[in-house]
Amino acid sequence: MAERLIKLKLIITCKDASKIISQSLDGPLPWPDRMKLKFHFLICDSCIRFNRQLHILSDAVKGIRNNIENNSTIQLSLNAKTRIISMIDSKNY
Amino acid sequence: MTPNVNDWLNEHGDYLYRFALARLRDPHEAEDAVQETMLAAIKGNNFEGDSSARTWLTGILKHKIIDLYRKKIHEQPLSDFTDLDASDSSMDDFFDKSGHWLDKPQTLDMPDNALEQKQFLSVLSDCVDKLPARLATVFLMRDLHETDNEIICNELQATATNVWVMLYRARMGLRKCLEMNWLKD
Repeated sequence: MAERLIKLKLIITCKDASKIISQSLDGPLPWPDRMKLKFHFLICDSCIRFNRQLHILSDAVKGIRNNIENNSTIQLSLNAKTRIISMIDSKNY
Repeated sequence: MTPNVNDWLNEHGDYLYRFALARLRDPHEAEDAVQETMLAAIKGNNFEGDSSARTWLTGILKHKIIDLYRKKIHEQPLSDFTDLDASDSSMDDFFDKSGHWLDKPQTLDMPDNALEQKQFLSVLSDCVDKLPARLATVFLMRDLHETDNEIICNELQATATNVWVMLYRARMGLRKCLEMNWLKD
């Protein structure tokens, strides 16, 4: 049985699994890759944790972004506003 | 319609600035992006009344942000770009010869309470700064600005494989950095 799975390349290393996990964040995986990952997760807690780490990483980055977007104390400085207006005036639009 | 930069800046300037700052992480670049947006808005003057001015301006800003990302990437020395093969040696730090984790990934959780969460995000921010600049920019383009991989490939004139390898390496480095700097006892 195990031999057959290896022949089908359904059994993959953690190194290969980690690449597939990263790709899974960027779009739907091809069917064989999904199967490989499913099998791998059955036998590997480390890669399950790695998968979780990448999802937390991705959520956290969006958290940083949202904190800035929603922070109304962050404002375009008066200097910058004046500079932008005078730059546009000088170009006579 | 007479475009009025004054009104746009007063009504949407802060919003656009925060939008840009959240993605570019540099106040000067964020100001530049807003300035470029205003210029393009006034030059193009193709605002159609069926969307709000804010939506329209944000749409322009999104493109300006991608322009700035692209510029950042092309400013980096090429050496950063060369070693793009995920197949092997570049991952020797993480896996042994038979492909097993050298250090097993640890449980990493986003803290619940606000103060710790803030600290977590600040550790992550430092980790992003420690990445090679190209990797950091590609990572921010993808995970922060949520640019499609296809657009990233076009902008960088890189193959899909190159882009996913860069993302893979960036993520590998970041989660390791978080483990080392956040989980330390």
